[in-house]
Order: sequence, then structure tokens, then C-alpha cells
Amino acid sequence: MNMNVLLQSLPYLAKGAVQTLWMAILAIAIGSLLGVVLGLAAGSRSKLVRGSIDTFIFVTRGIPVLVLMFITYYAFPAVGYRVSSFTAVTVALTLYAAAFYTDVMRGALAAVPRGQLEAARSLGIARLPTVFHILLPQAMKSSIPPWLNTSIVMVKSTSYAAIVGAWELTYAAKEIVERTLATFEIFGAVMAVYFIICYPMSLLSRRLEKRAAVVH
Amino acid sequence: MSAMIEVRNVVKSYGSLEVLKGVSFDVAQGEVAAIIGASGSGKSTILRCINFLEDFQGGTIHVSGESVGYDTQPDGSRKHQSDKTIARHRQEVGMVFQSFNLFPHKTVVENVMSGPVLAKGMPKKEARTIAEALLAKVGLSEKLDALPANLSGGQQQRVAIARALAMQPKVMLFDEVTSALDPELVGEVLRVIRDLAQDGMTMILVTHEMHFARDVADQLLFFDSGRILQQGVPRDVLDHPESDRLKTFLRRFSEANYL
Amino acid sequence: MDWWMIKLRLIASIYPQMLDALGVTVTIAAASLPLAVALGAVIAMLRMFAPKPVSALLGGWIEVMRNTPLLLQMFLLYFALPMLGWRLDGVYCGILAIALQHSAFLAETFRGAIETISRRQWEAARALGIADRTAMWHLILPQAAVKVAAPIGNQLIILVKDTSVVSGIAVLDLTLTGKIILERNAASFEVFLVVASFYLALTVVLGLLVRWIENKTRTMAG
Ligand SMILES: Nc1ncnc2c1ncn2[C@@H]1O[C@H](COP(=O)(O)OP(=O)(O)OP(=O)(O)O)[C@@H](O)[C@H]1O
Ligand SMILES: [Mg+2]
Repeated sequence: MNMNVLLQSLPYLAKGAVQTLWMAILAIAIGSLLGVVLGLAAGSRSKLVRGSIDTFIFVTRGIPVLVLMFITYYAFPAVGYRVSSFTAVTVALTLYAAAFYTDVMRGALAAVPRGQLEAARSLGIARLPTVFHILLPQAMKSSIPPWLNTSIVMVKSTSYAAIVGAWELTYAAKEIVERTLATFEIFGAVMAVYFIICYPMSLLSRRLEKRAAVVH
Repeated sequence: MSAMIEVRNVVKSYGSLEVLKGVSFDVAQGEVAAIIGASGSGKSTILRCINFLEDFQGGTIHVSGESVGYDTQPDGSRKHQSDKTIARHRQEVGMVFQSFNLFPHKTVVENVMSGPVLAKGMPKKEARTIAEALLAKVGLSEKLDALPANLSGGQQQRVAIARALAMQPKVMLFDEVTSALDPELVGEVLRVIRDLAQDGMTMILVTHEMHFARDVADQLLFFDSGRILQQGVPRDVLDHPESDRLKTFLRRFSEANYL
Repeated sequence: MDWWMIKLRLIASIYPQMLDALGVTVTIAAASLPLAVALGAVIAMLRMFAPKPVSALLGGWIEVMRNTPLLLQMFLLYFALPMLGWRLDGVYCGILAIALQHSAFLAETFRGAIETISRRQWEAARALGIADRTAMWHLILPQAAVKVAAPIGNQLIILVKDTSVVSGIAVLDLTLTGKIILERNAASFEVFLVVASFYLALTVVLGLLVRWIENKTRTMAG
């Protein structure tokens, strides 16, 4: 083990980790927002809206996130936008996240018992307040565990940016390894970083799932 | 002549909760004993002890002269029997549960064959012959290759009885086997049990069917909070309850139109 | 008009080149799934029945595999193993890494399925005098197998998508081949639409298969 190399590389890796975190946070935050909006829209009466959302989910979930990254990476310049590789990759991650979150949200909304909507209607509560005060809070709560699980996938997927050529933690690690050959130390340390981010999320998700199972 | 089933001072607790507080009774060869009692009084527990699905802390149980679960050492201490001995013992005791517990991925005839094949290593052909005969006996020859999910509750319970009989047990234990059934399906299951009684099978039935207990049982045991409060010929017990507990219990039944 | 013709001709011309790459992707998926299932089953059994320390160790292993990126696991196999004197071809590293990560997910699925088989099924077997080990093989596991058929199918869909990560260790699968064609022909991102269409076709076919299995097993699960 070459701990010196690891120590010397720490600042560089830390910079990479910050980049990775930014990617993940942006993708998860914007993706979640899109997920809620699209999840609600999926309940729309318009066939066109529903069909478009179905198609978006179907296509996005049907291909690897890495391929989606390559598409955005090459598509932006092709249509005349010059964006950084960071932006291209983050857009792909966001779309990917949005597709998963939309699916989660749509399921959670559909799982709220119909009787509650009828009760709200019989109380004379209008449509929008019903959605925001009755439907959404319940759906949000039950979708927390799958939301966490999807978010873990997103955090791990940021590493694929290194294949496309966007600089982040995994890319930084590869650079250092190529220079120093300290494979175990560097890759091990980087795995530890991902683990430290993901493991608490999966613990929390499992705890919430278990609690939900007991209640029902 | 010693009894087929001999239960002596059995004590059983879950942690600090004592659910059997010294239970004793005998069931002779070919005799039918019925157990009644309120929910939680320990009826299922004693059956489960007889089949050693539960361990127990005190007392002894003998089936056909053999000790169940424990051997008494020369110094008087108890020693847990080997898994093999326990499995062999369970093969001699058939048990039928309230919830059928059929194996859902096996057909009716495979369910009945499962004991002989998996416990005794009997060749499948031989086991199938036995299974088919037993299924004919419980009136299910038509359903040999059906899956349990496609049967009515009454039919499933008759398969479960055939499955237990396939081991050619010396004793049969029935734990509220009609309680989960729709009323119109109870009769077909009771008929099978009555036939078994007439064939001379030694049986213990936990039941809420008082009429049936009165008709079929040779002795009736009333369980209350882990004790036997009264036992005897069904007619005597039911018509001359000695304790207030039994009177209350029976009144509740007659009010519910059971009696 | 000309522009469209050129694009279409390009797209038509890359399909044949992609077929080899499709073979690589399918081979990796086809090799890693059975490995993952077998390994997952072994881990699940050990988790349940091995002595405490072994089971705890495996629990830790599962958590590490599930909570770190597949690409890093592949890097370790591809770049670090040679330092220990083992050189594994990229394809094998890919297959092994995918199998390892998916076996961790599958192990938990299997354990869950076995544990949801009701205690009463064990009791019914015991009451017949069937030994626990026999009951496990003949009565409990077959029921668990029915329950995990659909989850294995869903895992296979994720696994097929995960094979694209092997392009990170220079294996010429669909994804990396797409990238190379694109760069060599100075073509545009349409190449990746073709790549995406291959993956979509694979996942759609598998999705239909999973749906079919779900319908098939629903009646059996009882
Ligand atoms: N596994 C267990 N752990 C703790 N307590 C238990 C367990 N199984 C049963 N008991 C308790 O033991 C007591 C006797 O239970 P048992 O099942 O023998 O009652 P029962 O007479 O069969 O009642 P029922 O008519 O409801 O079937 C009850 O108080 C029950 O709560
Ligand atoms: Mg009971």
C-alpha cells in the first residue's frame, strides 16, 4: 500500500468529489421536480400528454444512462449549442432521473385510495386544493423509499461521466492511477467516497420501507 | 394396556407467559377426544406439543409408548431427542391445520405423495398408488392434477387430511379444521373425519362444532387458561357443566346458535 | 434533401457494423446473468444458514457491492488485478464485475423470497416428518423460485443496460463501437440514436419476456 500517493492525491480527489456531488445534486433536484410535475401530468385527461409521458419514460428507461450521456454529449454541438461536457452529462442524468421519478410518482399517486378523492369532492373541496393538500402529500410520503433508491442509482451513475469524458471523481481517480499506478489505494478510496454517500441513503430507504410494511 | 396418547403434567411457556399449566389426559387406541375452550386457552398449543412442533418445559408426552421430544436420563434430567428421532415420531402423528397449509406449487396428488416420498423415501409410483386411494376415500378422485389454488376450501382441507393419512399415522390431530371454511363446506370435511373415527383411528380434534363433538367424540376436554377444567363423556360435560367458566362458555355458544 | 439522404445512408451503413457489437453485448449479458443468479443464490443461502461471522461478512460484502459504482468495480478488476499477477481480458472483467454486483442485489431478492414463504409451510412439512433440509429443497425453494422469476427478469433488464459500462474498460460493445464509428466518420449523434435503438430493442424483448413470466408464475405462486 502506498499511502503517500493517496495523501498527496487527496486534494485533487476532493475536487473531483465536489464535481461529482454537484452533478448528483443537480440531477436529483431538477429530476425530482420534473418527476413531480410529469407524475401529476400523467393523470391528465389529454391522451397526447399521457402518451408523451409514457413514451418519454419508456424510451429513457429502455436505454443505458451511458448511452443517454453520449447522446446529449454529441447532440448539443450538433444542434448548435456549445456546452461543457459537465453540462451535457448532467442533462442526461437529469433526464434519466426524471423518467424514474415520474414513474415512481405516477405509481404513488395512483395508489392513493380513490375514496379519498370522492370524500374531498363530497366535501366541496376544489380540484387543485385536493391535489396539493390530499393527493400529493400522501403520494410524496409513500414514494420516499423508491425515490431514495433511484437517487442512489443516480449517484453511482455519475461515475459513467468519466467514460464520456466529463471530469469528476472517477475521471480524476483514473488520471492519478495512470500517473502513479496506485490502483488499489486510489480506486479503493474513491469507492469509499461513493459508499459513504450511498450507504446511508440505502439504510434510510430500507428503514422506511420496513416501517411502511408494518403499518399496512 | 397403556394409552395411545398419554399426556402428563405438560407445562409450556412462551417467555414468562405460561400457556399450559400442567395438562394431563389419556387417549386410548381407537378413541376420539375433542378439545373445546376459549380462544387462547392452549388448545392448539397442546396439539403442537404432541407433534413436537413446539418444545415444552415440563411433563411428558408419550405416543404409542414412545416419549415425544425428550428422553429422561437416569439422573432424571431431560435430554432433547435427535432430529431424526423427532422426524420419525412426527411421521407417526398426522396433523391437519385450520389454514390447510397445502404446498401451493404441487398438484393435489403430489401434495398427498409428499410425505411418503420426502420423509420416507418411498418410490413415487408406490406413493402415487397410496395417494390415489386416499384421495378416492376423501372424494377427490377427479382433482388429482389440480393445483390447490383452484380448489374450494373444503376440498383443500380434504386434501390436507389425505396428505396426513398418507403417512399411515397411528394418531391424527385436527386443529379447528373447519373454522376457516364457509358454512356450506363444513359438512364434507366433518364427514371425512367421521369416517375415520368409524375406521378406528385414534384422534384428537380441537373444534367449535359442539354437535359434532357430542356425536363423534368418546371424551371431551374443556380447556381454560392452560388447564383442563372438566373432562368426561361429551354428554355429561355439555349437559352438566361443573364450573362457571364452562357454563359461560357454553352459554355463549348456544346464544350464537351453535348448540 | 441531399442532407437527409446522406444521414439515412449513414444510418443504414452502420447497422451491419453494429451487429458484431450487438453480439458482444448479448454475450456479456448472457454470460453474467447465470453467474449472478448462481452466485446470488449461494450468497443468500450462506447469509441465512452459515455461522454468524460468515453471514455478517457477506452482509458487508453485499452492502459494498450495492453502494459503489459498477465502473469502479470493473476498474479494480481490470487495472488492479494485473498488479497481483492476474491479467484478465476486458470482456471477462466486465462479465465478472457485472455478475458480482448483480449477485449482491439478487442475493437480497432471494433471501426476501425465501423468508416470505410462510412459517406454516415449514410446519406442514415438519408435521409430516420431513427433514428441514429436504423441505428446503423440495418444498420451500421451488416456491421461492416461482416468486423470484419476475424479479430476475427485471434484474436482467438492468443488467443488459449495465453491460454498456464495459466500454469504460475498452471492450468493443454496442456503446464503444458507436463512439468509435462516430469519431471515425466524423458523423454526428445520430449514430447514438442507432445504438439506443439496439438497446431499446433488447430491453423491449426482455420486458415482454418478463411480463409473460409474471403471468405464468402468478397462478403458480398461489
Ligand atoms: N409463538 C408464540 N409466542 C408467544 N405466545 C404465543 C405463541 N403462540 C401462542 N401463544 C400464546 O399462547 C396462548 C395459547 O395459544 P393457543 O394457540 O394454544 O390458543 P388456542 O386455544 O388454540 O386459541 P384459538 O381458539 O384462538 O386457536 C395464547 O395466549 C397465545 O397468545
Ligand atoms: Mg388454536
